[in-house]
Amino acid sequence: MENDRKKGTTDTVVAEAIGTQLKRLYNQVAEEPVPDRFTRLLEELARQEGERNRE
Amino acid sequence: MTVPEEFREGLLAAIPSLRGFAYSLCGNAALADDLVQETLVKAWANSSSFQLGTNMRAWLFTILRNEFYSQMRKKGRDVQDADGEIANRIADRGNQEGHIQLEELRDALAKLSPDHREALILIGALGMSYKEAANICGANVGTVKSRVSRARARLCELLGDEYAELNQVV
Repeated sequence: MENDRKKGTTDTVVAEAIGTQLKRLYNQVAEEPVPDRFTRLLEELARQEGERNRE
Repeated sequence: MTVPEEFREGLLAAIPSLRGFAYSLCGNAALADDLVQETLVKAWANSSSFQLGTNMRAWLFTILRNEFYSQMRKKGRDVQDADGEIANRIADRGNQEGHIQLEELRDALAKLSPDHREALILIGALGMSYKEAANICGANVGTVKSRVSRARARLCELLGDEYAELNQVV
């Protein structure tokens, strides 16, 4: 039982350590400013839609 | 039929998290941004099937991961970093210990099966509930829990030294 408790604690510590690193990997990109290609894409999609609606 | 402004704003706001998810999933920044682009185009085309006010992040993540799996099937192999592009990207930002660790993590993630990797990223990096992750993966909660647990165990094997130290501390 002592071992079970110890294993439970270890699992939590490892899960947290992995979670912290995964967040850093994710944030490397997620914290960057949105690249122009995506704002341009959304503008282009809106423009195409505007044209379709006028037709 | 006009796409509501609220929908456009929702897409724009979701781009950072979509990019982070795609990058964690495929390990290559260029491929990740192509996945995000495809996701935005599909989301726009299907905007009428999205109910404003519901969980847009989950809806977009589902489109993105479906696109990821569909590309993997087409290519007949994992969509992975082929040229060490990320290693270079990380090295460019300086050689601090933290970045080297991230590079190792990225390599280890690439060795997981995609469904295990995906579940671990949604829970571990995004802090989603198992229910939300299960919804995105199209699996049940028990399956997602099991995938996350196996993914963690595998990472511990792959990154042994680093996590073994933690085991000794406890």
